[in-house]
Amino acid sequence: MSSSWDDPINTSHVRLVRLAQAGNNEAFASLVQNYEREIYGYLLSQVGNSEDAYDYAQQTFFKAWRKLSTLDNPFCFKPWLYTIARNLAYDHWRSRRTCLQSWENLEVDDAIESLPGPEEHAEKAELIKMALTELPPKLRDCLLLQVVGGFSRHEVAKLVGISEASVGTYVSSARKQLRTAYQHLENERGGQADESSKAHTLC
Amino acid sequence: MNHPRPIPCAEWEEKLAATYPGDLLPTEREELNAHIASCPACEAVLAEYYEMDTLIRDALIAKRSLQLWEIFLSPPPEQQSPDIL
Repeated sequence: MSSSWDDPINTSHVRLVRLAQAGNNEAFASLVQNYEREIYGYLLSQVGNSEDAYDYAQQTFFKAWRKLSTLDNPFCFKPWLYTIARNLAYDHWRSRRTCLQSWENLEVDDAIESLPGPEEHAEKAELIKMALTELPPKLRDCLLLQVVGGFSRHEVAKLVGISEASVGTYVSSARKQLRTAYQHLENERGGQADESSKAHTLC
Repeated sequence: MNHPRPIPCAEWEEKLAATYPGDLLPTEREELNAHIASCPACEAVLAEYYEMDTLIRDALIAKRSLQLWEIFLSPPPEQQSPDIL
């Protein structure tokens, strides 16, 4: 099966990795520019607040820059980067002895706030973010590595350290649970809107 | 995504969730496509999954550059932020 990173279209990234490994910081800056938004998004999904996600994204790239010479296969740069980000997120939760429960305290983030398209789409994106918090961490991790990271089932299996079959099962369960959670939230929001409308009519 | 939600066929659920292009073998993808062509419920669920993928990316991935790359242009990161390393 083909993988996103093995695709010939990414050979330019491999060239950048090799240049960066030789000490070319401009090449590394190009790699950061390419991956910073998705690494931030993945970390946001793991730690739940924009400030920590930004800090960990920064740390991810600093660590990657410092350890780049230890990366044997330049084709593995992206999964390697995600491994660093995942480890930082795990350290975050280990130090707090908890896991993501809610994005309620998520501060407004300019980079995220400006969602394109109609207001309805932005509301749906907000609902999906809330629905994601209701997924068990393992399921959410596998789903987001595929959807945000763009990794194949095979790559997720290697990153998470489980079988490909388990990734398939987890992603399927994640989608099913996410769909249900989203529906509940959508119904709740619809109910609240109805109540508000009734109250307005009564006034 | 309107109500009531369509219920997918149980035997196709896992394959429907495999929205990543290379996660199914070509023959599996062909079988799934053939099933979807005759099953409106599974077709609707697959469409929901693709919509959810878009929503997830819109909800999480920053739309603008975080400018982290600028840090690596100059001076070298070792000199700029030794405490992080």
